[in-house]
Amino acid sequence: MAEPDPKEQTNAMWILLIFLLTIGALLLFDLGLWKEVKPLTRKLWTLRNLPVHTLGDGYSGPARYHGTLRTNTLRATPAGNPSVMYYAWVEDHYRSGRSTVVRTLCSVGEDEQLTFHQGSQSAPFELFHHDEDIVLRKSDGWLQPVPMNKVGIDLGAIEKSNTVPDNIRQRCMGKLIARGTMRYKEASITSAQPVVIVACQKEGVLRSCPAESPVLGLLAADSMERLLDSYAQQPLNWLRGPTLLLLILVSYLCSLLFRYSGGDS
Amino acid sequence: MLNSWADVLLGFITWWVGLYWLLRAGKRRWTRNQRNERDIAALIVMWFGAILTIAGISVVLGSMVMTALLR
Repeated sequence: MAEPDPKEQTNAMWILLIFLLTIGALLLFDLGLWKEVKPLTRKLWTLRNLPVHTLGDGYSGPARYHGTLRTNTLRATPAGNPSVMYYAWVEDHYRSGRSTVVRTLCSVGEDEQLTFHQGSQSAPFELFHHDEDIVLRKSDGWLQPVPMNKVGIDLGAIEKSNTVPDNIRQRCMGKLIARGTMRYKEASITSAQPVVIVACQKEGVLRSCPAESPVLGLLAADSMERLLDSYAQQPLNWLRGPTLLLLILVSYLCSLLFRYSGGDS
Repeated sequence: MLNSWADVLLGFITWWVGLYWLLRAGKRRWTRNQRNERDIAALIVMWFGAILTIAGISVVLGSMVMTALLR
């Protein structure tokens, strides 16, 4: 009996390994499609078509409300801009090898004691004041999706500056140690700016919604289109990622199978 | 119409690579069938090629559906 060729054995093992990895990628694609893309798309559709309600109409379910946010005392952002709520942070941009790394050195914000106003009516706004996780939409694109199981916040355009204001320097004492260039960013809204919120009314207070709702809640300046787009990135990434993985693995597996089974003839 | 142009690029490349393997393996299988030879490797490649083609189309369609859904 002839001894098996070690080179052929290695090739067979290599093909088997890539084959198993490809099956894994296929399962991931399948899982993404049915466990992530389908339910998230359904949630997005529900969210898109949520009814618009007014304060005090007795509707307790998740609904969209258009109005403005106010607070008793006007808050100034670290850069000195008047606002009702704001988030500000300092980023450190530094080179690591060939890429640029961005890390947040310190972040501050004021988002408490807010009231939602709609015409002559108002209600306390407590969408994210009971241990809910929040996500601030900082940019668009597939690299920064907003997960639907957190309260999404979009305060519109983010103000950027290369100068870090003294106010935030004092508040972040000891944290602003940069490896590269420090950049200051802030997002805020004023009392005059119209906002769209998705919330549930509970005893006259605007609160986050139960887990079975499409989202816990959201707050968006002007329109919720940008936030919806950020939500859509999550299911789309479940399509993009496994497809890219499949592309690499299947191409490699097919070329191996072709090469070791006699080529084109 | 589309969520991102990256989806068109990824979808098109995946679809094209899938179709390339599907046709190439189909041609080889047909040639070997003419000589009454079995070609299981080509059959597997054809299946994977078809899967890639479908995955590519699904990325583009997914992006289009999501955009239509949100606008």
